[in-house]
Amino acid sequence: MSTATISSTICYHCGNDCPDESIVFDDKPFCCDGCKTVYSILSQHQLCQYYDIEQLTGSDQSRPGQSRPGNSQKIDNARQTRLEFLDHPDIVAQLLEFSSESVAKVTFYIPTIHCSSCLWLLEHLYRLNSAIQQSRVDFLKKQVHLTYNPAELSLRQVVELLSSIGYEPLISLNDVIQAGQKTSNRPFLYRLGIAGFCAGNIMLFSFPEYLGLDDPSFKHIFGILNLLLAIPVVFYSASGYFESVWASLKKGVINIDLPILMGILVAFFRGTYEVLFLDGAGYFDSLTGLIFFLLCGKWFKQRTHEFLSFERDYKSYFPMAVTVVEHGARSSIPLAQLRKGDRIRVRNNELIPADGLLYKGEGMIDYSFVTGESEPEPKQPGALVYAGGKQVGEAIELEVVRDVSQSYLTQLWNNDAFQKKDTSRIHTFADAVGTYFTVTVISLATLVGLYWYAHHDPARAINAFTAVLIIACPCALSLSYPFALGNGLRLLGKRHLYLKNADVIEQMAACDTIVFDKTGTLTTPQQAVVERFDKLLSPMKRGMIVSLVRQSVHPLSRKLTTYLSNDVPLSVDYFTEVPGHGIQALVDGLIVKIGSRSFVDSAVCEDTGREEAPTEARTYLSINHLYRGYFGFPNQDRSGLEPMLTNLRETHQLYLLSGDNDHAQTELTRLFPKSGQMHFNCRPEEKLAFIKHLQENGRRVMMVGDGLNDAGALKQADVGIAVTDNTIQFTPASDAILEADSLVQLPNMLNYTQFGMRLIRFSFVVSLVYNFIGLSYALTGHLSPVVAAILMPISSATMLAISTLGMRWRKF
Amino acid sequence: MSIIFFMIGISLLMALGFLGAFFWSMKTGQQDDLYTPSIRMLLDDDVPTTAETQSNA
Repeated sequence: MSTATISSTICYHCGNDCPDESIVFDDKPFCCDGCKTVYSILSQHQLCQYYDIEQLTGSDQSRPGQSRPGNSQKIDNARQTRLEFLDHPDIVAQLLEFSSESVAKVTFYIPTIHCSSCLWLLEHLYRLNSAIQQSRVDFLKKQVHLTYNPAELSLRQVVELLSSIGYEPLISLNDVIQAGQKTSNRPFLYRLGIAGFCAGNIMLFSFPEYLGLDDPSFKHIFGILNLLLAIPVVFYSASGYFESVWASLKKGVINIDLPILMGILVAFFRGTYEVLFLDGAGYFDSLTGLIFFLLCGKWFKQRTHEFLSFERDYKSYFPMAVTVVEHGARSSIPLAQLRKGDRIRVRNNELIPADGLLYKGEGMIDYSFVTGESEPEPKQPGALVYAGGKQVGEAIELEVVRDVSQSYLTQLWNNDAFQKKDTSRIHTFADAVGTYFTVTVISLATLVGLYWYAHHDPARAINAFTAVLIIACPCALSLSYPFALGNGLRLLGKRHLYLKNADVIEQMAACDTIVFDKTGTLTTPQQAVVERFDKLLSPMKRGMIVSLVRQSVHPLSRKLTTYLSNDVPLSVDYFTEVPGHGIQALVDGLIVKIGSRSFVDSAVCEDTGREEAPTEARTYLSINHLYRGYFGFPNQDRSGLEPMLTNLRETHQLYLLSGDNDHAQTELTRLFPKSGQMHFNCRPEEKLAFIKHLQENGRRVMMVGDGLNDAGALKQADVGIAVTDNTIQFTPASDAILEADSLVQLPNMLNYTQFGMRLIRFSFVVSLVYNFIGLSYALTGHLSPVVAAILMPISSATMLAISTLGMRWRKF
Repeated sequence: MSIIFFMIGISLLMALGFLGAFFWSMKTGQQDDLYTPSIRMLLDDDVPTTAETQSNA
């Protein structure tokens, strides 16, 4: 019985370690039936090339996410019933992008896509089932676009097929709500293409002018051609400026786009007049070149991290359908039809969609999405269970007491902070400059015009007036902004801070207050395990423990399995798992129990176990009814926290908000020494209100949080940064997503953003110098197209060089 | 020198052709995903089933 085998075999499919009694199929070892099934499906359809594309190098325990999908099967065998909702016609209709008698198109988000093997397999789905006509993978977005024949295959069967090979799509409520409002940058690229095309050709036709060739017939025909080419650039490509200026004028604000638009329009109409009536050349080359550069800048700034989603709210991980129990019969209904009083059934690993009273089953609710706290909370029948938690363990039944939108967590989204657009954000430098700049330019142009008019030279008055407006166009600022911020966005992305858009850099630079969430942000439920035993555990006993815990999918068991992975497992008999309590089995003739205090130690009744109110999650151990001690899983501060906070304290005001009780207060006083900096027992709305209060006192607040309970605060703050250990996982709506390992880099990142803003101000000063040179021509009314054609590209190129090189050279 | 008018016409038509090609590529979604094709082209196509392998299986 006690034959200990060292398992060094690696699963042929997923690359994980195989347990001692490995499953052998086709002369290849497998760690579980799930992996074996996937292999057999693939080999049946001659798809084993899958295994040759990306070789797995041994057991990759340091990067568990890198193994091939398939091992999830050992966890989910209730999947079949879970997919019942895909038979509901309403849901099918909402998911399909297109459907007819013989063709249906659907797009799934599959989080497990990660390597070229995945790509290859998913694009060869037609070999597994001929009803699938085409499948295309979008690798960065982790999406697969499927075209299939609905007469032969139902949507549910498609999903089952994907699941059977380990690529289970993530279908959430969000898919339904956001369907049909996909944003695309195609219209913008059309504009950019047109502008580039016209600008290039106009420059070609302007060559005679540059070279001083003065054949009047050519000049006229080229002028007309240039005019025709410039029309689509001004009125189509630059239409964004019309919209932006109109929008800001309606609000009574002058923005930086107004002087640009004035410059564009004045240059266009003066050029038209010159071409048509004076046989002149016009400024179409400078004008269209400028618009092309400006659009390039916008495009550069716009390209962001497509694979991340910054707009997720509770909808993106709430299920589409729930199982309702009515008179003993179960049926799937769409979430929208769920009403107060319904009885719902929630299985292992399913999410609780609405607040409800537990009336059947032992609840173990994992609120990690909500609070960042990863240890499940036990709930007894009769307890109120809040929406947002995930059930771990046996299936439970709930009676819904509040509608989905009125639940404890989801009602946060009814707050004002989620209704308003981002208009109340910090006044940007460009906006501030725009007002003064526009006023100065218009008054200067008018003064100069009046001056020449007073000197009885009306022709020159108009020339000078228009020339000032053309030359003073603040194109330099509009170029340095997108290029500096765009470069900043890319560089910060390399340091694992992913910004929603480039403007966030400016908001970050302006912040003077930082509010941290505690659980999951500053502290992390790491793999660290403390042993509290009267006697040290012998290797033999450790082996007993590991052979037990690795049978269980409970999060604590999995942590223990990793912790004890060096110990040799033994064979186990009579393994039973009592959900919500613990696990027990016969190992080497001894009864080993691991779990809650009352479960392992019958001498302790449940109440005394609770009085302790442990500050950490614990799992207790008894062998042959003899209590031995426990493993503790303390929440740890992330490493490097202290120097980071000391650094930040010099420049920013720091606060800590925590949803937990204050048991960690003394420990945290070291990090937040001033009184009033720490607030405990904060509910989600209180966090939001706290941020609002700071803002009303004139602070510019950055919120750093992680869970859904921070979502309100993240939204209300001037900058909301979501910290995550894994970017594929759920993150609440935020302005930026920061990988947890890079949290300590925050002071450097803030410095970098401030440097970026200084650089933009510097380039603005440089551009003013160019403007003064240009004005000296313009004031006399002698702005020749050639001078404009030289000045414009030079100043633009300088701006580009300053902003790009500056942002790239600065190390942080 | 009047040949130049003809040549300008040709050059504009050619340029318009390229612009058209760009529009076509946008419309057919060729610019939507610029990353996946770079992996896809590295994957070999294999011949699914030959008589030999079938008999072995």
